[in-house]
Amino acid sequence: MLGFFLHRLGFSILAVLMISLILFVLTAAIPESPARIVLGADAPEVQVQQFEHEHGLDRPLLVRYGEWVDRLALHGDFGTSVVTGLGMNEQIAETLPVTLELVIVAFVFAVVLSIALGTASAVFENSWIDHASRIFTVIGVSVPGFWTALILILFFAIRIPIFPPGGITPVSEGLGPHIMSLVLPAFCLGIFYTAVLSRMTRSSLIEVLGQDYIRTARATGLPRSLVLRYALKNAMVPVVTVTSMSFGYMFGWALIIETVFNIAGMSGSLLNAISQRDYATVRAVVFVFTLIFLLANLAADLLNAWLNPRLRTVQA
Amino acid sequence: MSAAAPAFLEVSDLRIGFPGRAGDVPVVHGVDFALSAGETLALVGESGSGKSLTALSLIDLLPGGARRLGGRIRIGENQLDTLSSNAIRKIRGGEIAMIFQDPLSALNPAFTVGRQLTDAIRSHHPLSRGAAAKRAEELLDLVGIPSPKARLHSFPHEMSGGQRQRVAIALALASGPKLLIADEPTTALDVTVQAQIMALLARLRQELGLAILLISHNLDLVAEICHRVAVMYAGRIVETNTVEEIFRRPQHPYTRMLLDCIPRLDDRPGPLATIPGEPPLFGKLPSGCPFRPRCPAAHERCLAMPPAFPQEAGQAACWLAA
Repeated sequence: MLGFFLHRLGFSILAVLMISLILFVLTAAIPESPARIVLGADAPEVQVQQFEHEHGLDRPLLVRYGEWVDRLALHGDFGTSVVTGLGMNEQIAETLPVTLELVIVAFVFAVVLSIALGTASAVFENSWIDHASRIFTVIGVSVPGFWTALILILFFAIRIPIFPPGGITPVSEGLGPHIMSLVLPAFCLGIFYTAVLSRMTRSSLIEVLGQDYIRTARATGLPRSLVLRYALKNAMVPVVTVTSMSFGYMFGWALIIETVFNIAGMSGSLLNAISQRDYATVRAVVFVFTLIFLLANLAADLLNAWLNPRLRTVQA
Repeated sequence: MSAAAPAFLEVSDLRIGFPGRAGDVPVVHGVDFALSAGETLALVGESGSGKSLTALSLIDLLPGGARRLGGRIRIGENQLDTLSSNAIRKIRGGEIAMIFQDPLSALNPAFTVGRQLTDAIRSHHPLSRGAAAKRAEELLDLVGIPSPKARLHSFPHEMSGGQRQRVAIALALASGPKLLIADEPTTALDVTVQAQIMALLARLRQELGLAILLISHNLDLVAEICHRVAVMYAGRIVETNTVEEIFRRPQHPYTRMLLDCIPRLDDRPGPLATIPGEPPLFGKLPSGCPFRPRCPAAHERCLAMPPAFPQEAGQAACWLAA
């Protein structure tokens, strides 16, 4: 198991290095110089060159990449934005927790509800529970998140003001209001993945329930709840992989949800950075998302190795 | 064992079918047999003869759609059709257990052998984890698995086919059943391992006084460990007798042809014997004797149903045997 973990960890580190290189090259290869963005399009060439020299932008690409990696790996420092002059670490420290909380709440909501729905659907196949949950999943998959968000704001924040229409109320103003302000955005973010994952859980569990070893479990007289646990551990293998990817994708969807609900999370920094052509900030934010995605995948690999012992011995 | 002791398992007029558009399509048409402690009965027949469905109905695990249309099954003191689902669960494993053809797919790949055994034990007996683990170790030892304590931590995929089938047998025996149903237990195994598993079943029958119902299409295996044989064709038992008598004086033409299909070392080289034709499809039985279209001895009388289906040893459902 330790060998398996180190093997996967090694792969993840390799992936981080490659992604960081691609990310750096792509954002640095954009022909427009940051100097022109700061100084204006009609600034004299001398000034531009002086700006580039001051900020080290005239050095070779690989040298700058090495410096970026060095500072990031050894000091955890993303550096300062040439465009805004702000430290990127401060910016991330301010916005990441907001997005992280929203995504985690939405993720937990999606995972818990989808496993419950998918399991009920599979166990009571073709019952009214199954039909209801399948109708729900079709709606959940096909209705766009931003539209759900707008409709929910209209009904549950404006017409019937139960929840605030936007923003996240800080915890300092009370835990209750804070949680209330999270409900609508987390629901909108989670509902799509609830639908996707509950469909997967259902089909995977139905397949497993037809396996010979479930018949054996019944034939040995295990109680229903234990038979279900025997089935679920096997059925979750394909679901876990998709679940971990969903966690990563949710950060992408969070940008839309944060915009609709006017939440000051990572989306604000990223969208601002893109519109200001502040590529150093874009690079930092995307790199953080990448790390989260890889960590989620690593967690999924470990969880799968626990669920499916055959995976552990496959590795040489 | 005395012949007067009441049988542990008694099946009478068991009928099984699949629901169809125009009413139920029967697949098993009234099967009767009984089985006592320490006795081994073989249900023999081709695929589709209804032998596996008959076996599965005994532990109320008929596959999707199939259901019991009638008849009675008595297990010990219990009449199966009068029991609640919870009582049936207690009978499964506690009174009757079953092992299946492919031991790899019959064991849960995600749990250790020890976990599966202790869960089975604790589903029937209120034991602590430690006590159940001790019992699991004894079971693995009983079925002849070397270093049983270490094996408790193994997963099924880490074992050989023969060892897996031994584990499956240990799992079946976990809660001390009195009847073991073995559905083609050696079909998926190597020939050398087949003999070991059959020897194990014979030993367990003796040591534990188990009744064994062996489902097989392999008459050679049957001859090794069984006392009695019931031959099934198209959802009916067509002949039943002791193993010796079946081999010496088969009554039903179908039994005779099945025996002829076993290749012998002293046979002259040449094509192997087969039974021409195929078993009839369910719901499309020929009129009269179901074996008539394939029977070399068929004559006019066979257009009517055979006189009687065997209730006792030595009888056969055939006009010629009457």
